[in-house]
Amino acid sequence: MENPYDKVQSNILSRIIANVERLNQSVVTLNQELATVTQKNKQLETIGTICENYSSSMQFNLETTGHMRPPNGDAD
Amino acid sequence: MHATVEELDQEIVAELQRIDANFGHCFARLTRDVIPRVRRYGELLDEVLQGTRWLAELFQHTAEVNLLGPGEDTSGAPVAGGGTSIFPEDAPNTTSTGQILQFPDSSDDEAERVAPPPSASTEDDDAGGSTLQRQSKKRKISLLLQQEYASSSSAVPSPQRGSSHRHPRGEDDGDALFSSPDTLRFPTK
Repeated sequence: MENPYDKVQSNILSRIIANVERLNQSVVTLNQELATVTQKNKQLETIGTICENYSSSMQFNLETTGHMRPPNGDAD
Repeated sequence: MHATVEELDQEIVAELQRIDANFGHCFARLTRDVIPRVRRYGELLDEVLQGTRWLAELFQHTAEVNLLGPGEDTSGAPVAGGGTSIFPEDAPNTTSTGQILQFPDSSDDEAERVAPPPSASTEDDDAGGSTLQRQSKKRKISLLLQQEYASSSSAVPSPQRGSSHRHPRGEDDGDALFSSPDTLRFPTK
């Protein structure tokens, strides 16, 4: 005598397998998007580092040569 | 017994359905919420990079230009200002090799004292007798001479060189200064 629950369970299992397959595909897509974002972030970080270095160099240069001026106050 | 088997089967079915629902929920959240937001973040990053591209090119060209410009280091280290130096050009004290000749502040007065009173200094030399003092005085004199010759001298003349230097003031005895490394003579008037 066949167990009726076997068919139900096999159906549910096949649905689970399909869902996991789609979930895998979406996770792969997410990984690709995140890799692109990480690469762009690294480029932006490099530019930020360059700007920081330039700022510190200019600060040091102005302080050393004595050309540093105080910030202009807002006119009331 | 059959009842318990059926109950177990029903529990298994329910558990599998819960698992299926969870997987479906994960898939829906990922596809509907997470991936579009990550894409939007990437697009915004693109816009930011677009805005900072000119700045990156500016710094890049700054580094590239210094490699090709005159007077750069072989190591390719960036020179400040793209050819313009932050140091003011004091010509009398710079040689063609770019060395700046300056007396240390403490020895400036001593250098002035060296040339005018030669007789007194010879007495001091005889009294002091140390080679270090003589060598320091020799260095100061050579630097003084270089200042007078300005940028015409290509290298720092060593005191041990032959007497090829002529003092512009006509002090021929100045050659004797560089005749031997150990003896130091001052022009006698």
